Amino acid sequence: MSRDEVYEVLDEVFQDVFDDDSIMVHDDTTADDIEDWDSLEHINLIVAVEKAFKIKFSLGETTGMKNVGEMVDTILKKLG
Amino acid sequence: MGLVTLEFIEFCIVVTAVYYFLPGILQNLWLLGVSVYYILQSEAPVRTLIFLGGVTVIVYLAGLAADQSREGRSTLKKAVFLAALLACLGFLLYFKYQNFLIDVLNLVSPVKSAAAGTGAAVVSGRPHVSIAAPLGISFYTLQLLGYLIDVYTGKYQAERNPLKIALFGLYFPQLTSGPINRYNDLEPYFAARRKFDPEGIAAGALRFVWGLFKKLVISERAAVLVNTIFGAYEYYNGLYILFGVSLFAVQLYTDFSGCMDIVMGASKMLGIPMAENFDTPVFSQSVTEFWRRWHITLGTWFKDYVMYPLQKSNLLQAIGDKSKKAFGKKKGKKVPLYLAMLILWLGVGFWHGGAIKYVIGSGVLHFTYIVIGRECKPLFDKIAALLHIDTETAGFRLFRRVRTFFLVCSGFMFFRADSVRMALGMYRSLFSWNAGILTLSGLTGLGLDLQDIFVLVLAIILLLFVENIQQKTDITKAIAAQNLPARWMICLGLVFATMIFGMYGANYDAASFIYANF
Repeated sequence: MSRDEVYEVLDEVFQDVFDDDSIMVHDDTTADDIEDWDSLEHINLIVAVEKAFKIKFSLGETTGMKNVGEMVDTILKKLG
Repeated sequence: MGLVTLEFIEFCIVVTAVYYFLPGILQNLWLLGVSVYYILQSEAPVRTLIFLGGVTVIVYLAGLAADQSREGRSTLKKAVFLAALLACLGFLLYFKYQNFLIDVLNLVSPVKSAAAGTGAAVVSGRPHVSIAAPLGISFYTLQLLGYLIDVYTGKYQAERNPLKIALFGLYFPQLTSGPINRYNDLEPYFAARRKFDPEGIAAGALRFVWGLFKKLVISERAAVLVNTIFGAYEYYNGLYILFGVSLFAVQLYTDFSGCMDIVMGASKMLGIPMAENFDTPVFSQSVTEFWRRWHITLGTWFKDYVMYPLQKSNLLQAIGDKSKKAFGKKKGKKVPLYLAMLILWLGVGFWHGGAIKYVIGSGVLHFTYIVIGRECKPLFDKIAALLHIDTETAGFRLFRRVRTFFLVCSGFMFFRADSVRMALGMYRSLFSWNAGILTLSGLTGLGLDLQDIFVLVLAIILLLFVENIQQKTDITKAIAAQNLPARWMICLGLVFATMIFGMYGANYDAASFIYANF
């Protein structure tokens, strides 16, 4: 899967989790950029991403990713 | 060695002065040595040193064995990780919660014995035991467990250098009351030689003195009034209770954040900035925001290591899937979230002590406020729109802040009271009108004369002024940008104000901090 393809799936996941069809994520997107992405919604997002890509993030990855770019790096690494 | 003692100030000066003459590795050895010396000055020195040393060794070895980045059988790693986790939590339970466990045991399985004389069977409880918990056990147990969990879950590699882990566990500024540091935050400072930095030392010293000011001028003064009201709550009602609990909020904040300023200042002088525990919580506009700004390192610890793993667990995921089917996607996904949050808040409450008053006042009550706040937000927004209320005005922000303050105070009532029964009694008294506190004799009859009350009010105004600057800019940099005479005036003014107006000496217990008991 290419980086662009990962982003296509991620956009859909973010739009679905946060109920906002206008959301488009990129490398620098952080929780500050999306209104409903707070610490309480974070795991709902992580689980939705895991289901979409059929992968599992470790706890360290769950709390350690600083932006969507790092999330995509981790996804690509896991997809091998 | 209490933090608010001349002995501790002298200790910090000597430690800092020698430290900057030493090469890198000796700096760490020196810090470890002085940390052991600091522990040996505590109430139960040998027990604390053995316990803390033991936990540090367990976590160091378990970290190496359970490191996910190294080759090895995953079942073995899991077994080592769980064994170390249970051992550390077991020690914590044994030392901190043994009487709570005895109470639970008495409730579940009461002991029956024969009454003297009559021989009739009576139910009697197992007696409480009295073993002093090692210094700061609740803080460094969580800190070291955080490292172990991070290593096991692959956040970073295990540290091979035992000196660094020993220093991470025993580093003296964090020992009594935290903050609960993360290893990946402190490690870069342990790895390099800390160079002499006059500006850093000056900033650390100023913060140290600001902490002393908060503790000695505000907290100890407020404590006199609070202790009078809470100590004889049967005689006070109405506004006295409201005044007492509000002032306790001030006392607790200046006590705990003052303590943090002292230890952060001491650590800053050593070139090791630790994690911030407070971010001007007085300006919070909701209970959720308050907990993002109050005791930050405890909240983030429970969020990262308790709530997130629970939310991700198969059990809560299965509950989430079922609740989505039953209640729809939007409502259903809240069920596992609120379950995980409830467990988090029970954990936070229980961490404060094995007593129901903490579970309510520092846990469940706040959980309830946060859930109500989230669920009722659409309703509140509708009401504001209906009444044409502009929620972005300064007046409305002030309203939110005052509302948040009193919601938080409602939890502090349980925190400060001796028991739930006492807190409920004070709530009952709150609703019987008594405005005597508004009279001069009513106010000065609580243990402080008018001059002391005046000093307290002025000091609180100064605190609010400083906090207001702090929430907008880095006050340390703002002071550093001033001309030298102005910097000296601020520093000396604070020192003299603390020396003149501070409440210390034989009649006060300024050496103890509220959170040092946890």
